[in-house]
Amino acid sequence: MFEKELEIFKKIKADLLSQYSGGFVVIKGDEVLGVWQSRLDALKSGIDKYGDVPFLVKNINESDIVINFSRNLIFA
Amino acid sequence: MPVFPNRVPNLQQIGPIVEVVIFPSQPIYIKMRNEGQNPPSKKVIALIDTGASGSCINDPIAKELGLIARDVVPVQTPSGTSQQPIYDLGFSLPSLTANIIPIQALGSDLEKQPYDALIGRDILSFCTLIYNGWDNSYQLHI
Repeated sequence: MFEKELEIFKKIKADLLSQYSGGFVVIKGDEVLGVWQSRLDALKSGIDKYGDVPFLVKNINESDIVINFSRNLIFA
Repeated sequence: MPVFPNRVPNLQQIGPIVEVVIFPSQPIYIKMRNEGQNPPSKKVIALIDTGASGSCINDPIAKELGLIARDVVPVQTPSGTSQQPIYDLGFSLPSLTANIIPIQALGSDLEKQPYDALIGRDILSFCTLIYNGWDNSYQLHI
């Protein structure tokens, strides 16, 4: 999921980090829609532009925050 | 601060559970309202899980509400680390429906569990949880 978008994010991550650290970037396919301060604003802009279809909303940070579970979960 | 007191026959066995309502993400919710549609919602039982840094919902609930993943995040369980899709959604307690809190939650297969969601420390970070094992009671203050 989001292979293309994550590849684009990887390519532009250093630039994004230098200018917009902590922000949220919206990427669909190879199109970078923009960067917003809040996740909700990024989400709203993506939905306004593309509709309720898959697009990536990525937090611009040095590394992703790992979500920990003390139990095992079954993922699809 | 609303308080949600509860008592179960065997707190150790059942765990602290609460009824929650799950909605589509806020922008979708508002868009549907503006278009004259009634946004879907689902009332489910959630386990308060202090062992989870994030929250989680049962996959069929995500499908039923038409949720679409908007990110992929690293998830660590005792079995290892993997990249998993994560949903943006709205979360509320039944008596707080006017106050829908935007959160992100993983989708997982919870079919064999007696609950459809896990409330993790992302939500607990703005709550007070009192767990009284002596009398099988607990309180969630939001």
